[in-house]
Amino acid sequence: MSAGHQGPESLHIQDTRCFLMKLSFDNIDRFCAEVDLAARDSVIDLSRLEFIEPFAIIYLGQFIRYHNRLGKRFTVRMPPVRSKSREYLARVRFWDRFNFDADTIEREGMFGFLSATSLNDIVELPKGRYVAEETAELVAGVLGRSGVKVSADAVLEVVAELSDNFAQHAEVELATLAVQYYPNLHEFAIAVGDSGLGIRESLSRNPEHAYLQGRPHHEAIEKAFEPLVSRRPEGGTGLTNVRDIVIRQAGRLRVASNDGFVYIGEGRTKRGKRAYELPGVQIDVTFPERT
Amino acid sequence: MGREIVIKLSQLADHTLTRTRGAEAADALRSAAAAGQASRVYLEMAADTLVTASFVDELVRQAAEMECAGGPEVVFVVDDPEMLQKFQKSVTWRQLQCRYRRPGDEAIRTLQPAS
Repeated sequence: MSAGHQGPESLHIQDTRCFLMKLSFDNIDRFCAEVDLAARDSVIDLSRLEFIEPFAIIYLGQFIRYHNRLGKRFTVRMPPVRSKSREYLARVRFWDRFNFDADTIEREGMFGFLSATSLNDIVELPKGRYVAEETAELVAGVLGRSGVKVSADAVLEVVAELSDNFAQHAEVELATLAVQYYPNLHEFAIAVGDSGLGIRESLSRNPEHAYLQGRPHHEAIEKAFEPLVSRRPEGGTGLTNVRDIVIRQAGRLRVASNDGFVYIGEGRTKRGKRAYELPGVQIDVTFPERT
Repeated sequence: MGREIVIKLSQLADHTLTRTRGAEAADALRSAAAAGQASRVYLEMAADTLVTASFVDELVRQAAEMECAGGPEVVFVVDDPEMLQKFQKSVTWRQLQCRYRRPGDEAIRTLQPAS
């Protein structure tokens, strides 16, 4: 299956009996770093995929989208027919969202179907006047359908802040959103990502924070959590507020921007460098259910 | 003391999720105060929709600007403790003060930045 808009398609399905792969925040950067971008036929091998969490799906999608913009096409080795991971990618319309060609999607039966526990879709967030309101309404629908026991106000405030941040700062036209309720884990996860400007570049356009240009990306991400730190003089409360909500709800927050990351959860903060430098900002927030 | 007017948040804003909507609500507040020749505006914050901290922060910021510029004094009417917490965060972040009162209570209180 090919991701991109022109050229021949190629579809490879491999045997998955050897070992299975889970893609998450912790390894999706390494997975992307291992894709040979210099090769004529760059391969994204999902044939052993067993599980992919919302952050990873958004990250991988933005990786594909970013390189498509630069003219790169990929061959994607898909999970086997009837495997759960293949069905999941179909359900969230991964193929439609990230530039796979319509003929292959139809031939391979990669159509979505309904579920009560997710948005049934990776949602495109077009940069627009009401993106925060529209996104919050979508997520409110999932909260209502799934019966998840989380604070709807907390979730919707986070969703509104993250989608508004994208609209205000990313300088690209589209972001993507994935939402998933895990009934067995009693968790509700939201991931939002773009392949736009990134936090360090955005903040450093404010002369007060221009020094960040020479600092690691994770330092810029941490800076963005401080109140009133923004490229704009009036703003700078969005990520602070998201962090405060996550801490109050005993959730987890993970932010990646270029090659930096910051993790906040379980009473601690971790920061560092990732194995792959994907432009833009990719964030996920996980809320535990109330018992 | 000049004229006092009472405005409900729903008269100023259909949406209350973002700083941009907060700025629009502040503009509408300015216009309403000017039209009513008010020296004090009571803004009733009770709303059917979620009001985010960014929306509140923009209102607090612009209310302080209005007053500094010789405009009307804004008194926020707040009952919900979570909403009040958002006001508290904003005045702390910005090192400002803002006035509020609870519904049914005439006493006007001042929120100070938390230490």
